[in-house]
Amino acid sequence: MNSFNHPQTDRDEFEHDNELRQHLINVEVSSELIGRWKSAIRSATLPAASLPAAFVPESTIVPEKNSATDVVVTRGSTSPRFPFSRRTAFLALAASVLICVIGAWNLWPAASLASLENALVAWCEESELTSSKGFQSTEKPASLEIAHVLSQLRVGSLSEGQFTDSSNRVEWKIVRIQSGSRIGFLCSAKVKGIDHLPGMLALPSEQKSGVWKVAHCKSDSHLVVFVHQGELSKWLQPHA
Amino acid sequence: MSHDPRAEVAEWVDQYGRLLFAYAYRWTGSRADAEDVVQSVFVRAVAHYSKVQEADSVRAYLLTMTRHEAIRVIKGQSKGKELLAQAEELAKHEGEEFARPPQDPLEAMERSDWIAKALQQLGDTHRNILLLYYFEELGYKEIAEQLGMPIGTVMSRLSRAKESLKELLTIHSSTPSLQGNPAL
Repeated sequence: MNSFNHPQTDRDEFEHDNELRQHLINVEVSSELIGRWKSAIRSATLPAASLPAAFVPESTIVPEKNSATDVVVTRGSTSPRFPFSRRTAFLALAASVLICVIGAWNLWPAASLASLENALVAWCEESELTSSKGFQSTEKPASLEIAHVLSQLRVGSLSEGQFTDSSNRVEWKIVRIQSGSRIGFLCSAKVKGIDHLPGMLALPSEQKSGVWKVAHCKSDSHLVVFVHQGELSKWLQPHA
Repeated sequence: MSHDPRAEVAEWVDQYGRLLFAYAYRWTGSRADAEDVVQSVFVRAVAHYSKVQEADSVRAYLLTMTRHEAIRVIKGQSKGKELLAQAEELAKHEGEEFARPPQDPLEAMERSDWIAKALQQLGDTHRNILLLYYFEELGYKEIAEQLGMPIGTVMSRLSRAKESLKELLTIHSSTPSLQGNPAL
């Protein structure tokens, strides 16, 4: 029987308090999850003062811009990915733009695909200015699976699923939308692992030539990916 | 030189990981979000290692970081989810069928967690007070400062929140169909 039924003394009260605390605190945590956190820590950026004197990154993230919207991203294995200050600034901007989009959205009496497109296009174009950096996935299975999903999607359709990318589980939902020559994918991706941020869904590792016009906007776990339609077909071709 | 903060933070994972996860989970109500929150906290702990280490209590510092991160996630989700919900609604109107993936056992566990449901039922204020009290072990005054309310209000609401949770616990323990929560 539960001891909560008849609390009578201070001692009872204290014990009940402890019992409540235990109920709140006892949540199952797998050793796999613990391992995942440790793995994330191993790849975390060290504070500047802690870096060994001889530490020199093999490469840094350098986005090459071929046009106003082209984005190509390369990543070195020891690169200090997404410094928090920049990331935080970007997230703040993305969030504020999103607030505007949602605010504007509420003014429209009937949501339509067109309004969704417009809102997202506007959001992306705004955010693109400050988000021209991302990561290429080096995981072929992830790229292939996403590419396959995108090829199956029709405008307005929704797909969702999950896969494991290295040790990170990725859960995603994608809605395909279209606006003129642009095809957009509204993606909600839950990515377990800080190394896999925007760009994973947009840039297969084979595409390093800079032909992709990709804008991605991330606000917490949600990201929007736009590619130009002509280039999408290249993307969806089998890997060389 | 070469003390690597990552080694120490990895030890904190062993020491506090479960507690932080529970705390994040109670705030967000989602195991997936809690996993991300805790990971983010530990990664930030590496970046701000000296600050965390110099704190009076590493445990308390990490718990506070967890709370802030969890609240940030909750706020961010409410915006993003709204947008995604709109898109999903549109997708349905298009008449497309989509197959849902097999149910995740963790999600099933989450759904059966009556404590999480009970916290939801308590409402934000009561829940916040309970979490600050039980996890961060803050006193009335500190909770009052955190939440910007009078101490008397904190005391009465904490008392009420505890009573509500106790009632729910009693109901739960006397209802066979509700027992066997795998999260406990």
